[in-house]
Amino acid sequence: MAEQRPRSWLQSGLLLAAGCVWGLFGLPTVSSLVWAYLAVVGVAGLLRGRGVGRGIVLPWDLALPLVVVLAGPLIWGLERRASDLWIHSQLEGLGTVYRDRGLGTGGVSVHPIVIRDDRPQVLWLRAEVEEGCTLRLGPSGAVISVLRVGPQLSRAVYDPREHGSASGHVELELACRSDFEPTGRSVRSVRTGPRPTQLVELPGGGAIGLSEETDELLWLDVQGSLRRVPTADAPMKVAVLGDSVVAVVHRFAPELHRFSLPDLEPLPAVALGPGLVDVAAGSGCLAAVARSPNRLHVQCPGVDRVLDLGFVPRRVFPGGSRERWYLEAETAPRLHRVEGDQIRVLAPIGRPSYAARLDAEGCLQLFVPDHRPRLDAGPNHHVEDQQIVLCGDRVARTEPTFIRKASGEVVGGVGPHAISRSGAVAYTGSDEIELPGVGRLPSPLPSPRSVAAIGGGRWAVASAVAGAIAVVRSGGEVDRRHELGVAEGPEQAQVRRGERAFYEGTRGGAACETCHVDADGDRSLHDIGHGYPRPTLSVRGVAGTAPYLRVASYPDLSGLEHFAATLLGGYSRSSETRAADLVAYVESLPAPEPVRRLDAEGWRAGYAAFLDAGCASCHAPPAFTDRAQYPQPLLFPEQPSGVLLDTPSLIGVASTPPYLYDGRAESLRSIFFEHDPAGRHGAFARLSPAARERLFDFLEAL
Amino acid sequence: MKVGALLVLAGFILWVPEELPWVSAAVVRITRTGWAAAWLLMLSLSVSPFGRMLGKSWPLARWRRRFGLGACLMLGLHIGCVLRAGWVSDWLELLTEPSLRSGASAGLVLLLLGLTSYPSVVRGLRLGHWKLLHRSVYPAGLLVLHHVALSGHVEPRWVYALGGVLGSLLLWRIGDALIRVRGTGCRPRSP
Repeated sequence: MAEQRPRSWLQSGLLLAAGCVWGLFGLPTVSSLVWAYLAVVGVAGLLRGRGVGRGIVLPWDLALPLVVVLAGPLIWGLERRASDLWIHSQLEGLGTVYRDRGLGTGGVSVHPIVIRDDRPQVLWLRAEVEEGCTLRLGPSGAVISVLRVGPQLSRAVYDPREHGSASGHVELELACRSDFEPTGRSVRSVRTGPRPTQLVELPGGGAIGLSEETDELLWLDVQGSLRRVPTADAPMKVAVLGDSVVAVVHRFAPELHRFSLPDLEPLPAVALGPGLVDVAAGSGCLAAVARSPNRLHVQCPGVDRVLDLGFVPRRVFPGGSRERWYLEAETAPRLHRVEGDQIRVLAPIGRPSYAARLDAEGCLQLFVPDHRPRLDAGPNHHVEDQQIVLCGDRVARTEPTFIRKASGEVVGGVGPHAISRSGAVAYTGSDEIELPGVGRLPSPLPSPRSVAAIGGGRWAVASAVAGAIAVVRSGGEVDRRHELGVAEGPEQAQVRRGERAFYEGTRGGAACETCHVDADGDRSLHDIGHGYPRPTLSVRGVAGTAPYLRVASYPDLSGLEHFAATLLGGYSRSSETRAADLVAYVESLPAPEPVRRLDAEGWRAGYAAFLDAGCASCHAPPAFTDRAQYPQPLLFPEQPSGVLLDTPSLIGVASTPPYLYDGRAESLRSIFFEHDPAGRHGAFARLSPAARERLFDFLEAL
Repeated sequence: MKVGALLVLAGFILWVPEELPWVSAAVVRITRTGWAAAWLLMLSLSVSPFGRMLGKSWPLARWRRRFGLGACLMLGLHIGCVLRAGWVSDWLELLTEPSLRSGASAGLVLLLLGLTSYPSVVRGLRLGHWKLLHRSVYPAGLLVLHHVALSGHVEPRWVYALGGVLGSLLLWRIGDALIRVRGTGCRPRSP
């Protein structure tokens, strides 16, 4: 008999046997596959060591069919468990994680990787550049000056108005004085269209609205005809003072712009300083709130007042007299009442408000997305959009706005995003409008963002998603429809579909936007399946920072849809493309606005303190995250291990409290002064008091 | 001499300047020792293919075991750095966290292989067929790749490079086995 070489068939047999043994493991992971192989090898070695199988001879002619026969069940078994293996070994979504991680390493890199054509944006460049270096968006793009902030870090402010808008994928070209050798990195530019949001009723009939993306006021007359009036950069809030003045706050203009009624002629703008975020009108006065410095400006006939605030303001509401105004804080969802020069903190309202108005009794009617943790609801949170009526200092009543069937399914009243002066309500999450004296009606447009009475028994409904305004009669019949958009490509259409999905209520009564109010966080904590509550993160500017969530459990943004489709009960409206649409919309969102502005020297000094404190070790530029995960006890030794914490990006961090993995820090300062006694969160302790202040300024300006 | 060279190499890998603006020293040490172990393992695996191609003239033909033992040494340092930095405070993490699970599995296999590469140990343990066990160095290599791919502290290009090298070596190993089977393998020869 000839000498046989049994090793080849032995190895094949061992592999097959290992596959079969692997099927017995509880978790189908890569590691268990290897351990199954080792177990089989060990047993085979022991058996052969004892002489078992020594005499077995298997000719190749038989071995091949044997392998084929055995491979069938093995492949079937592997296929059956492959998806579980993919999930349990965290291979799912690894491509996205690697794409994003690659953006932060090697050569020139830039953040954000998605830019918009409707507003100025900061581009952070990880690159060693010299003073005077310039940047172009594509070879024909305008020159953008670059500020060197420190070693390997620069920033450039791209303003589409000044530098021209781009479309699609654009190669950045960084040219420095010394060599002019371009090095590039691609960004994706998203074109935006008109998105009408706010509508305010005019006293004589008609309504005034705005489109932030196209820098327009939208003026509807009593007949429902539309006139589009150009204004300054990014109008974001509008208020109507009596029957004579329309006041507009712009995101990127330091003045309060005013227009006279009834012809909407521009009046001289009032310079109140940069950082204006909201305006309200009442009792013959205008009130505007601004950040950095945090101030309330009240303008009454003959009297102008400025009040310094001890908090970052988000909204201002009229209080029923010249002296009284309600203010909502940005960093903690509390309502403050200003009475003359006195500021009083009222009861916390739980979440950032959707909308408010002063009702006929002089009470503040406020809509909030109230979703309190409920222990008996399992590892998920319970959602209840609420109406709060505040009379004086007292909460007169609270009641949910949604309608829940006996089966538990929420079928209406989700996302009350706007209430007009006359009391008309727009429910963005359930595509409804509620008209005074009429009741709830299906909205003529998807995701209605605002509704206003224009007179003659007609109402105007604005939809950002549709890019349109519709005029309806009290029976719900559509009288007119104004399409504001221009011809859009498939990418813009997908972003709009994604926006609708983001605001769309689930059967559980919540939308993505319920927690991510205005795509930011809700300053609150939720348990979304991890077993303990975590603070809500903003989803603005997160493109290119995978993986996501506090514990990096989502390798890509499509997890948002998965979460809504499972824990929140899924959607009533079917859509094959919802996950991809959501990703497109979220990636198109700009980063949160900073609450502080710095000059060149401030940036450099702040970044030097940032480096000295070792912040860049984990919050590495240009995205200010290293996209890595660290064991929880590394920062919090008292906490149980077994959990990895994802490094969050610090861009826009000042407006996204609470901080740390469990929301224990209410402010940036408290992270270091109260919650880091052992100095594990960087080397903050070694900074001088002046350097610490520079560091906080830097963080608030990011 | 050899031990001294290894100590110098270990010292070089572990030395980190105090002031690093971008990364912490602990992360640098963990990353360096981990990569050193991974690449020494790849070197060890690539000795045979290159030896087959270049013949006995290749000067590193007899270094397979040395590279393998070097990988084990770096692996030990890697584990030490991870433990010292407090990254594993609960041993249960080694089972629950995929990256650590793969790393721990790969580490155990490689340490076992390192141990059985000493004839005296093999004789002492009376392991008759320990060579069969050494085939598991390839699965261990896959675990190493899985470990570094999931680790949040490595640059993607190095993961791609490691995957490329390991994939090439695996392909070579499979191809070589097939050629040998087809050429001189299991078919009975004429008496």
